[in-house]
Amino acid sequence: MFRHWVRIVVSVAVAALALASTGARADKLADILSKGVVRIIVFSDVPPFSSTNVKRELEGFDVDLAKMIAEALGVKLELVQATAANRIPYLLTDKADMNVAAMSVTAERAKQVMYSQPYADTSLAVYGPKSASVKTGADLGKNRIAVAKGTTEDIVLTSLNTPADIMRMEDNATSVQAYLSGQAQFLAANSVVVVELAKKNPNKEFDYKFPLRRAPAHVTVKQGEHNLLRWLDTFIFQATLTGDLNKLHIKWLGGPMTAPLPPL
Amino acid sequence: MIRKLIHATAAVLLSLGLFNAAWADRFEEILSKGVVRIGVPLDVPPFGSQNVNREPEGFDVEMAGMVAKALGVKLELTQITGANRIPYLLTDKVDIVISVMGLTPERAKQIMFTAPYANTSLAVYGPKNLKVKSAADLGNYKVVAAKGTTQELALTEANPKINMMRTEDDATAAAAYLSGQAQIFATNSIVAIDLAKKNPKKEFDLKFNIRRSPAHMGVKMGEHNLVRWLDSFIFFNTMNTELDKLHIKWLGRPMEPMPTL
Repeated sequence: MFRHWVRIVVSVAVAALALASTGARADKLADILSKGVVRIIVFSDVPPFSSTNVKRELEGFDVDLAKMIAEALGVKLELVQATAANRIPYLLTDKADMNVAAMSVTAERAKQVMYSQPYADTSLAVYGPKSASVKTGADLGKNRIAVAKGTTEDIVLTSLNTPADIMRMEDNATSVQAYLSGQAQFLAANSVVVVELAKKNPNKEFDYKFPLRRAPAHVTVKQGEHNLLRWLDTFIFQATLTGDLNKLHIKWLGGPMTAPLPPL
Repeated sequence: MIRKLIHATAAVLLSLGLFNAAWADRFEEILSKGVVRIGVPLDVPPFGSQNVNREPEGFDVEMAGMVAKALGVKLELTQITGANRIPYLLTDKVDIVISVMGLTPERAKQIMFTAPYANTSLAVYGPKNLKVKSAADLGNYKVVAAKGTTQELALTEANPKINMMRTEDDATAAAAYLSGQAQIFATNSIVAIDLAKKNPKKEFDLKFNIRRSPAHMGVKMGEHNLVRWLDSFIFFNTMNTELDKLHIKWLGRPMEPMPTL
């Protein structure tokens, strides 16, 4: 009886040890290569990064980058659509292998995911009508400002302690709609997204009020996936040297990559 | 029966556990053994070659010495070629490769690259009278490059119809160009400058730059502690200008700022 009991305890202990150690060894890069598929998160409604075109296909900077990543890995691409708020949950619950939905760095997010080197240079700012004299969060007064929930612009705007009513919308499209319809007097958004919006809505004023911060976009992976992250850094380094990343800037963001991006 | 099953399961799990124990950290191993095994080329002057006393010398050879000194361990140099440097890492014949290696995402599926340590570019050379400005113009000429190198892969990709002579190493490629077996030579800018110096009668006219291609060290996939230490080593030697001195000594010009990995 005693021997039997010892045996069970020993085997359970060994099993636990082995499971713990193999668990720590699981490697996402090796998984992607052996399965032959990479699952990449992109936005569905944030042109020029990723949105649906007239043929109902996803297109944009992030979509092209995702295709380049899959090609360089030599695997099939599976795009996973997400909003700003569920990008990280999708990574953490393994619905995708990496996130290429124009995400910038915050120390808070970096507790849950790991960031690659930056791949696109963008900045975040507050926009509104020409007549409004607004240069700070305090100047926004009691007006309403629209922002997509969970974005970096939401986080920075919130930290300003502005007296304004921050309308945190479900996604980029509804946030933009709130501004276009006049529900909100101001809009906090990515500078590149606003260039696109201004083109499509010539009757609406998108006057630049004040910057929130420079916010280059980075690829993110689940915490601990060091091999995959190092591969992504290598890929971005190469795409910078070959000029492929510059071509994406010209095609989607309206101009070449300016200065070298700050390294992570 | 149940007992047998438990035994079998335990044995399998135990072997998994042991397998895991074999996954030691290379950085700690180097420090505890007191030896670092570094692969360098001896066919790519001024990065690695043999001097008149048959001793290895060059940028990469000196860099390997600096790495060992900074680690405080003995240096064991192993000669590698462009084709076997990755296999040598994968089969644990060396801990680090320092062989003027350009990175590619394809290679990065097998090994990991450090931050860049030397400023070089890849280019295409030939006699002055040949009118060649891009890979598309190479159709009518015999081109030579060492097998598996970044320049060979880039030219083959840019022009799949290229008449490419793939040699075992860079020295053989250079010999093929010097002897006239090939009319065009694709190589590292620095190698071409060195060859032109040694062969004043041969023309090394720059036809076009393939691209900037800094050199990176390579380590085995998963050796994150070692790669992070090497990144810190490169950063440190950039700040204290030691890396700049190596550029001036071996490449004849100061180091330019390099993109970060």
